[in-house]
Amino acid sequence: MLDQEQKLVEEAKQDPEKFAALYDRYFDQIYRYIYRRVSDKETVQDLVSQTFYDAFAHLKSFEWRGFSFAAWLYKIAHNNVLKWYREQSKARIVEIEEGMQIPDVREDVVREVLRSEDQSEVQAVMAKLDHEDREIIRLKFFEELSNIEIAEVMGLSANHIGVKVFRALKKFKQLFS
Amino acid sequence: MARPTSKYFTPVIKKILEAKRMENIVIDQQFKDTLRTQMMSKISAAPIQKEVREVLNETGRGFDFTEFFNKFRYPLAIVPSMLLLIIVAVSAMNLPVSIKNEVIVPTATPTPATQVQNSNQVAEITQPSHSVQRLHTFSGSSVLPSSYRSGASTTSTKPNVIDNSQVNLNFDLGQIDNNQPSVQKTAPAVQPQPQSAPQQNNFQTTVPVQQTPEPNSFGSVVQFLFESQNQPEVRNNNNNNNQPAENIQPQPVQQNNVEVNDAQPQQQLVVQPQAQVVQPQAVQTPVLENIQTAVPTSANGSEKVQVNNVQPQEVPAQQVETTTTNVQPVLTTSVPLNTDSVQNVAQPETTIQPTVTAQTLKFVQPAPSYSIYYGADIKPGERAALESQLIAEAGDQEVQSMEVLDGPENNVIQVMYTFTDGSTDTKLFKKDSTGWHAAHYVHRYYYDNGFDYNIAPMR
Repeated sequence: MLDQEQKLVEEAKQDPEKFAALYDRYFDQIYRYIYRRVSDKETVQDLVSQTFYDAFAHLKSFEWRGFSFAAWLYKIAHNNVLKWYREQSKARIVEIEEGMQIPDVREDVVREVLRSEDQSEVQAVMAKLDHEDREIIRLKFFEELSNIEIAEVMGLSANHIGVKVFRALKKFKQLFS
Repeated sequence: MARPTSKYFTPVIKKILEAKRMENIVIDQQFKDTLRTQMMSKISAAPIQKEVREVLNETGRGFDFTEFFNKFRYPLAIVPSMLLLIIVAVSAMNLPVSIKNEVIVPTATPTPATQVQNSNQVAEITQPSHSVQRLHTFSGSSVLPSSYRSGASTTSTKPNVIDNSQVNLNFDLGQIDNNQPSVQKTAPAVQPQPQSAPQQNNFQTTVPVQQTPEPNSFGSVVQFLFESQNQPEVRNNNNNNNQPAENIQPQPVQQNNVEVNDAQPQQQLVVQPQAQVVQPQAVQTPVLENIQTAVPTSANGSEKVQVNNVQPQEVPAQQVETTTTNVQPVLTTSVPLNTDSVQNVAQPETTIQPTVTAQTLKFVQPAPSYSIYYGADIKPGERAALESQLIAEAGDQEVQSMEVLDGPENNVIQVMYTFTDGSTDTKLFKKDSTGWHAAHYVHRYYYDNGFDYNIAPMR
């Protein structure tokens, strides 16, 4: 599978029109990942399109360093989502400084996240976890990425990801029980 | 530590995987296709644009300004900075010019040893301006006080106003020809200049006939030198107006002006308008004052006419010669201010002076004009000797007419003098073997009706 993925990436580097194959292969995964994080359809579409444009623009800079091309796309999507949250937080600070009464968006985000995650017991427990533990669980069990890929997406050490996964599951079990 | 895949976390992991299966995330296929189309269109257009850009660059028609500025942004940034430096440099180069003009004055100033002489000269210079002020008071047309007028004259901001006042001065004095006001109008604002003014005073006192300040071309050069060099000194010494003008040392510049006027009297009227630019004010003002003192009787006619009408005894040749002798030593001693200007001025001065004396000598010796009436019987051969004796006895007074009458005795005559001033006198002359001699009546004997007369030396 990695060989096929590597072949597609190499073809896309040579011929940009071959990037369509990578787009078709990883679009659903990136879309779901962003949808779980944002849950706003328009925002999801914007972040998805931004992710693939960035991937195409920096395709020649991609190198095989032990993780898949999907992990590289997840990393781009992760950064775009964080950037979007950062911009949203700045916009809210500005509005607060202007003296306008704005509802607590964080509660809305949590509410949307809970709603998007099927309001199940699992998602209720996920909502109680902190951001890093929740992100690790998503990438580990929902996106089915390896520790190396998770480390690449989150910008952490690969050896340290095993410990973080164990701590996240431990917290999840404590909350679930 | 249990591994994440151990049985310890199995129930938790099953819950998570079950939740994953339960999630219902619908992918918007329309969005997926639209985004794919857009990306493919841009991807297909990107190489075309790149190829077009390459072709245009190869043909030379295409010029990427962005790439150019990115490549040469640092050299291009130097251009405005260099322009700014050039502007600053040019403005800095203009500074020495202004400083140079200011430095001209101190360079013209004499050495500390000569500054004392200059200060004395400046003090002497102020007298002409003072005389002008007094003349303003005579005219009655002046409104400004004397102090203000002197200050304005030194600054020479409005020379025309002061020129008109000087014209009034001339009319008030009545000593200068009113038919030629242009001569006086040429005198600009009173700017007593340290070198020119004292020279003019000294020369005028000795030679009162030649007072016309002539602003010719040569004089204009001299005036320019004095203006640039010595005006500050004059301003500082305006209070020293009381020193007599006789102490002033004459200098060549003034003499040149006067001499040229005498040598070319007709050119004066033509050249005089230039004096407003040159400002020979300090020269004319003392002239007017000298005319009052030295030539009180010459009230009619222009300056040129005055020279012709002067009586011979008033302007003897000896006076003219003494003035020339007084001037020449000054040329060597009292010109420490600026050697360059003095050298230029001094040379024509010495050449013109002999012409002045020659002209004055012509007019100084006119033929005597008087009339003699002989009422007594005197032979014609004896009349010449008698007339010489009669003139000799007239003294310093100018004889207008004489009447020779018979005396009370033989060989004694009585002469009635009528002088030009209207006075009369009677004198006796007695004839002896040597000729006619003045005699005085000594005593009279009433009883014998006789007279005794003594010869003149007994008078």
